[in-house]
Amino acid sequence: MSKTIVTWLLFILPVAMGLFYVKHIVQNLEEDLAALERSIDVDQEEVHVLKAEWTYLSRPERVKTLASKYLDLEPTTSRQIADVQVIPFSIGEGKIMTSSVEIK
Amino acid sequence: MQNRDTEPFFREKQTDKMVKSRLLFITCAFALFFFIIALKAAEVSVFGHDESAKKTAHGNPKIDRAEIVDRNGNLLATNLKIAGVYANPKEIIDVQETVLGLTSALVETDMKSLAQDFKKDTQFVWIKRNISPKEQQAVNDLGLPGIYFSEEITRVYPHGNLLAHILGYVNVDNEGLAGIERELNEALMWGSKEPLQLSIDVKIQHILRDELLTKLEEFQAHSASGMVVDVQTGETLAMVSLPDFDPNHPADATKEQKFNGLTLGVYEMGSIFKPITAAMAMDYGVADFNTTYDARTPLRFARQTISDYHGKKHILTLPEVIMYSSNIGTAKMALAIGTERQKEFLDKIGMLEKSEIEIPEKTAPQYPRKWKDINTITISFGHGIAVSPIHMAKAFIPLVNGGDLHPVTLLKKKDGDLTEAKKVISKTTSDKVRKLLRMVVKGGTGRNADAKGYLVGGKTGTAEKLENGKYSSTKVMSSFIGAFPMSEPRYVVIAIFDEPQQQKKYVRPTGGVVAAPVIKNIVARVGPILGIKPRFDDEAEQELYVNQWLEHAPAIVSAHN
Repeated sequence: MSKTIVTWLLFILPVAMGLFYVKHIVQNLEEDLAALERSIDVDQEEVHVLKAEWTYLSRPERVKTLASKYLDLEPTTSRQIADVQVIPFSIGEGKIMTSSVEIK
Repeated sequence: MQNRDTEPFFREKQTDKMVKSRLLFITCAFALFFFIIALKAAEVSVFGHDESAKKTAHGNPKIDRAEIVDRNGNLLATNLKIAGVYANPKEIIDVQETVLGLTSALVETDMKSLAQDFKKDTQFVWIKRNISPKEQQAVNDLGLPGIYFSEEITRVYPHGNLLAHILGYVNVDNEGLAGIERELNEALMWGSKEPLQLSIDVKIQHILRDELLTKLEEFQAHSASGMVVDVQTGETLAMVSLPDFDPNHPADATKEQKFNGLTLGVYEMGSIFKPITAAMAMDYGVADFNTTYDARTPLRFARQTISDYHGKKHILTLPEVIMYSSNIGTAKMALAIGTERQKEFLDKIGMLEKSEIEIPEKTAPQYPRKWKDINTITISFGHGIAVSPIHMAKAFIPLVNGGDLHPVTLLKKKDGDLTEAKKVISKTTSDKVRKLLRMVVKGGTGRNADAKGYLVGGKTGTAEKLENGKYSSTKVMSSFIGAFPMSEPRYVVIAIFDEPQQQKKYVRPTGGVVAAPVIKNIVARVGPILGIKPRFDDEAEQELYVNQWLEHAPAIVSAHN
């Protein structure tokens, strides 16, 4: 009788200890996870705000105003668009460009 | 004595029994007690973790409305946490100091009403909602007691006015009240949190608005609207109605600003209707390029006289009727088609019903309930029927793309999406209409629309507005509708100006003067963005028979339009 009880105790004790140990680790990991996810949320929120701000700052209207103020550029005209073949590349360098790429 | 001896023994035995049973009882009680504790411990350690697990489960339960992006993924509408500032008057120590501090830190706050609010017997008073981060910092720096911040999730439109009439706006509870926000409110609120992708291209939208606005101001027009539609899919790339408003502050917008002229405004479109009549006539086989119409004398019908504005006093071929915008010629074309067939055709291309575009602000066209022959005549050149500009844009899609009518949409089509196109005219007819429209720009009333290299084709319109039952000669709707490149049309463009004012003597603000240059500028700016290869070779023009026809045409085109 007492022998079986002792055997059972010997069996149950380490299992119980193991269980509590694992549980403890899991709990710690979950706390880490929660903290990480909270910081991800915060970061996402910040990225979100930055995206909205970027859109606001890069809206075409503003870019146009800035470009006309600071850049010496004008919109491309249809005359400036041509096929690659039309461009006379220099032959002197030993290589002749025979590109068949079409630029739209 | 014997008793004495036996008694204790007996007693002992009895006590022993009692002790044993009590012991057993206590043991059992303790065993049960510990068993329960063990059970509870096991339960806690094995199952008891559910709650903390729920907390870590992903996602924050914010009620976020789905974002809206354009066809290239540019943000059009999003949600931001925006701070508001409120007060608990009971905690305020020095009212005057608080009021002074707040008015210096916040833009546009009223001192008097603030001071009054702070004297109220309440624990909550809004000071200002939607404050900027700068203001929040300033208020925070004051360190005033009884002043608190709240955070609210607010719908934000970073592009401001640019897409006002497309997106619409929301109320304080982030529920859509207009535009896409209202039409797709349910989906945006409760559906997938993936961003909603529109067919709009912000760059093209900007160009369209920019050009319309410039002309609107130049000619001091009441309003203007315009649209760019893909003829292969029916996708709207740009859609502008001016005046417009800032959807971030819809309460500040006037009625006129909120009115979407493109879909809500129904107008008698005038001459831009003529290509539809020509297409109809050619598709029903009652006319061809060689058919001639006598436009030498005004047409009298049912006590009405139809005459020409660009009167050429000639016998005109069908292309000439369109090029010089002859009312008489178009009227005769319509008479050949017949009333029933005209009605049937207009119905087929969606001219008699509401547009299917995904915004709630739209009206049904107005047309005569009793469609008589005189109506047939006036409708042939765009009078006696009032449609919205979006109807015109939609009707021009099959005219140039080979005959397929596409529903006009604001949502981007995915690669696999099948378009429910409806064949409304034959490819041959569509090919002829392309040539007609190119001729108008090459040698007719639409020459100001010719963006070099992009083979623009289209039709001008100058419709006199009804004023007290009479057509006014000073109040007009000037318009241009066209497509490009005419060799292989990709996009339909329309621009309409309501009541442009005459700026120079002898130059009426006609469609050719006001709207055509706008189309030219838009196409020239948009062409490179859309990746359309400009063509300068004569081949394209030859394909369109333009030169051949222009040679034949009598040299009667006046230069002034």
